[in-house]
Amino acid sequence: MKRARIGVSRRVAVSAMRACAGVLLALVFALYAFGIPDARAQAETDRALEQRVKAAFLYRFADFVVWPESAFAKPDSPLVIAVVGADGVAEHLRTLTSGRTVGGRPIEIRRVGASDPVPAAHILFISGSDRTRMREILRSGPRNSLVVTEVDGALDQGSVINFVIAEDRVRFEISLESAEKRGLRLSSRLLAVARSVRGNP
Amino acid sequence: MSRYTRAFRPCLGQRVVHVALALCSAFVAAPLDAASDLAELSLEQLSNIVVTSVSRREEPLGAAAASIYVITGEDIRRSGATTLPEALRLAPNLQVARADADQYAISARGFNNTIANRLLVLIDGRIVYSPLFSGVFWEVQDVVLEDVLRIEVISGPGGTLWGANAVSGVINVITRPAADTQGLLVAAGAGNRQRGATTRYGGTFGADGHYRVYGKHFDLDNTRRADGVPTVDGGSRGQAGFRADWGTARRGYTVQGDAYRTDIAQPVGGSRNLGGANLLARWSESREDGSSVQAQAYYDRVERDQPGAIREELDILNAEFQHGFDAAKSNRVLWGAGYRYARDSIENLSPGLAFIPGSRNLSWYNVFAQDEWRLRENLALTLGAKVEHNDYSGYEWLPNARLAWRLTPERLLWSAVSRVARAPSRIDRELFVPARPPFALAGGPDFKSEVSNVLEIGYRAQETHALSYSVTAFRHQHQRLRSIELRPGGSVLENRMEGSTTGVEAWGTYRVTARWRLDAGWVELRQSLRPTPDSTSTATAAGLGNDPNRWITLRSAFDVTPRHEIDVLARYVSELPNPQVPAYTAVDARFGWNVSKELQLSLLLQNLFDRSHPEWGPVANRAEFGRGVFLKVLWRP
Repeated sequence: MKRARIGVSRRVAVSAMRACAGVLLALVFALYAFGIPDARAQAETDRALEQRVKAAFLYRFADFVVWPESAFAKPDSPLVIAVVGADGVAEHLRTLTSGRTVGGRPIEIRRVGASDPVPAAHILFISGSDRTRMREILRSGPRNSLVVTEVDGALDQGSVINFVIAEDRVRFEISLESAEKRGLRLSSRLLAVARSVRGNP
Repeated sequence: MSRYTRAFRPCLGQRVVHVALALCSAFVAAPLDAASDLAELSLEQLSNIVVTSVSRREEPLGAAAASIYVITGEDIRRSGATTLPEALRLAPNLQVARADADQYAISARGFNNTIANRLLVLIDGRIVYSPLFSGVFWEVQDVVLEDVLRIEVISGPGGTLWGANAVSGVINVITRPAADTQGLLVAAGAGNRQRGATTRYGGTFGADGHYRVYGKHFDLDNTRRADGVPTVDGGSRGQAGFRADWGTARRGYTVQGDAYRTDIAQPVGGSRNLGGANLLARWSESREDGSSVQAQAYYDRVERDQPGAIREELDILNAEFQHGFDAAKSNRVLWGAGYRYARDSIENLSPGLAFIPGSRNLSWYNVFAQDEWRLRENLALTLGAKVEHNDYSGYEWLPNARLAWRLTPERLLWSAVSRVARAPSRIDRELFVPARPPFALAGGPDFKSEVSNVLEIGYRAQETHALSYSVTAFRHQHQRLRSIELRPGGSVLENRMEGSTTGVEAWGTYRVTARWRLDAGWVELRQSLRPTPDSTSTATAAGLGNDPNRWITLRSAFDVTPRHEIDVLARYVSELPNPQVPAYTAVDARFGWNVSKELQLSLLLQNLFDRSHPEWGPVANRAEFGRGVFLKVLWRP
């Protein structure tokens, strides 16, 4: 009787241990498969994702814009993307464009700090963090520059492409008037993906 | 006890292993991880990445010195909610109790009732309460949930901006602009308790105009009592509507409208036929100097044919205007005015009760102003007041003062003191039981506004990218609450109750990983109500509301892969005292499968571990809610 009981409890203990090991294994497996929740993973928040998507857009836009020939000094001059007030976006851009070219041109990313002058750039992204500065740059904005912003109403102030968040996604709106004013031609494929287009193509 | 634990462990272990294995083998998909992956995506693919942002989520809350919770469209989608009241369960600061298949008792900070009268509800700026009792008939309030941008839920007084009736909370349902709902959407779902289908189409017009049109139909089955007998409350609703937006970001115009028809079964006398239609126009403009102007007007018609009770036709006209501008470098002024007119025509069908007079024309008008004064870079004082006039009690004075102190960019400490009034409604003055004299109960000819003075202190923080939370403590001091007084010839409604409501509401969000989010909410509520010394009332506070002391919600949203979602929503509600409703815990789970960009499938399981539970009402004939299954298909080509 006594031995039987010991046998039962040992069996229970063994199966419990096995079960625990099973749970542990499953957990490790699950964490491996689904992404380990460490501090770095936490930093990968939505905001970072939003910035990454915007960075990817800035790079992709280059394929759908025709700059006047005068915008490039030589056939192999780099395509310059300047980023004002969004170091995160600049960092992502640098990572995702490394080793890539656009139409045979290398890509150069320029990070523009709060007090830095705005360099000549083919694509100029002005973040929404400092709206006064954004307005200033838009007013004096360089010609031949695809100016991209992320503030409601920025198209009215001279921006060519403005990011908006719609249905939890990064979308963009286009002002053809501003594009024309800056001497740029935008491909109809770009217009087709835009959430809205202002002006007549 | 320990034997059970031991015996249980192996099963649990095996189950976890099985589930884990099943998940791993079923969903092998490459997640969007390395930054370089994004460079390979087309413009269309980039446009389709969901980037719901924590920071943006906080934005509408910003420096708001109020207890405000925002339910996003994404939250609603992931909850699997099929009706507006079910979606409101996502707000931790709301108490939502389902009374039967169609009716709900919803309130913030106590006084919950199916005829709760202290919560102001707006759908796209249109006030949806009934002047019959200053509350909401939830069975006729519906929207296309897929088109909801967000629902702002403010607990606590909102009288200065929203007027009398925003006594203990405001629910603001905001749908997406038409530009955000372009193209076709078809959603259909069926389950063991409900079935429904929605179609919406959005297109463009003119140079800068967008529109959408929609139609939806929904059927709810009868619920059952604890003993299995059907309660005969099943319903069928149809609704159609449109919205058109045009103009620029600076100057925008909106016209929108809806029409609906709802039939709800009743045990005797035939079904309740409810219907209505509304049409709203809005103009808003923001100028270079930072000022903004908005004006809107709407017409709302409501028809209620409730055999054995009343037949009502109600027409409402509402117009309002507001203007915001920077008065000096550190002052932001917002002021406005509003007018509301209601023609309520009631045919009394029951010998048991009557509204006398049957027809009534009512009007309300108001002026308000508030100044947000930036005392220092991180300290803002908002002073505001509204004066509102109603036909019953005359002028009501609704002032408040709010202080917001931004300790760091991520931490806000705020406090507010407010005075709010719940203006009399038809039920307080003009309800008679029975329909002919002698009356056992009569509306009070001298019934005045119920008044509350409210103190709130709150703290809101975004501690890290992953963790944010909000805690609010509040005390509402009530005067002149509705009481039933014994008078010669019968009882009369008067204002001889008083007391207080004290509590704490807290909620938070923790992003465990980029794919796993946890939300939790906790509310503690204590109410102390008593008749004033000169009252003859023997009744307790039961007529005013029936509230739990505590309710807790827990929500987990997990992306197993970018295409597969598992959501769990658990809620605990403590016992309701009078009539007694036992405490309950309900767990819902949802499995979502985004088959492609165009097609989403989801399976919703409700009340997983619960044979059935009641949420509201006296034991004799109350509905219980059992397990529910709902399969939904959403197609957006």
